[in-house]
Amino acid sequence: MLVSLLFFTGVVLLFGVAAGLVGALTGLGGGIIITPALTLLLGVDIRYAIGASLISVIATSSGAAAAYVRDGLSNVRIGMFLEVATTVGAICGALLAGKISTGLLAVIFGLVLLHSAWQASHELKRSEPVMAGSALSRALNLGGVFRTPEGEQSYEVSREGTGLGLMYIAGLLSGLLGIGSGALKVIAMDRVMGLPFKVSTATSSFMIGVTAVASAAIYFKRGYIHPEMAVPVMVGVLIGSMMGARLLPRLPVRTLRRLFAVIVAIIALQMIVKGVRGSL
Amino acid sequence: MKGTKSLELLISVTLRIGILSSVSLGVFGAFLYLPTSGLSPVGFSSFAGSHVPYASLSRVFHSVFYAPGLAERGTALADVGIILLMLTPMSRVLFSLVSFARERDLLFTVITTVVLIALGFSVLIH
Repeated sequence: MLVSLLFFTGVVLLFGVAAGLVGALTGLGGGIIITPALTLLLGVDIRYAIGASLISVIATSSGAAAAYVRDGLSNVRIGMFLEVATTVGAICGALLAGKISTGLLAVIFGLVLLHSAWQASHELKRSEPVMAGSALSRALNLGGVFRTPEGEQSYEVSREGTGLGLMYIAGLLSGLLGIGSGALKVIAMDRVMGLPFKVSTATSSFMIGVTAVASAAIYFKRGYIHPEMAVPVMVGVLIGSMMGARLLPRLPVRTLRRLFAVIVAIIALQMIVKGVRGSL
Repeated sequence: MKGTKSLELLISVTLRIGILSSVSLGVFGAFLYLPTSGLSPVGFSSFAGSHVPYASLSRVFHSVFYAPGLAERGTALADVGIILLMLTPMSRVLFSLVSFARERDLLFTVITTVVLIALGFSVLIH
């Protein structure tokens, strides 16, 4: 589709705002909105879309972080602890990209995500059970306290080993498939490690930015990040994510879980289709 | 912990400054390239490869000062905004490192340093 640069910039800007908003509320990167908008709607080459998507992840992360940090929702200790695994995974993934066939991988990833989306949407309890923390998590002071409309709530962390393993895989997939791995991070923190949902999404938001920089530096040098695409994405997403971060504490967890489940299901289906068609 | 509160504020302020600078440069750059190329059709459906001005730090900075046209300079300036954005998560990691070091939390200082080194590695390798 042939459009003028001005029109293109405007459209991408709007999609960016939507992506940032959704990203800040779900702990995901917004690539889910940016990539199809660029490739399907505007006919952009997939590589530029990947670059723009990484920028959207970084912008979501930093924009939301500039607004969230004070509610105690984003847990820097857990984030940093898990980030070791994710960053190493992302570097391995970005280096491997292009050298191994990603079709089957995309399909498997898609199926795993679908299953998780199904699970995530079925959290029926009104208040979240506080899992007893592991000894390691208490020694490392990984738990925390955050503010909810009902008052302060504390939480602990468990199964960090599995969490680390999942984070490595999340990073690997992120580097290999050029996508944000926020979905896997939120799921690992929420389901496996026993963190409250909003803490998982806020912490994931912090982490995806760090992971994305690792991949982005490599893709930047390959010429995947074109400024005329990246700039409207950046500006739109920053606006959207700052709005989203301010909304997050006020929305009920059930609504957020449903939004998360829907978005992850869409990502999963996209992954499966891409894997089957072999066009990644 | 009082120390953590002031660190959180510092991170928040730094991020905002970083974001504001990125957006300003991006928007300003766009105001330079849009009037010139705004109405021309975009050709992003073909991938131009990596020997382009926007794929290397040195070429970007060179273009900002020495590119022949206002449009090229605008694009390069916008790219500086993008590069600045890419640095913002790194600044968060750096501040966290300082914070853990001040709290004398050895384990987390090491953990954060590992992350920083891994990030540095990704920036420097080809």
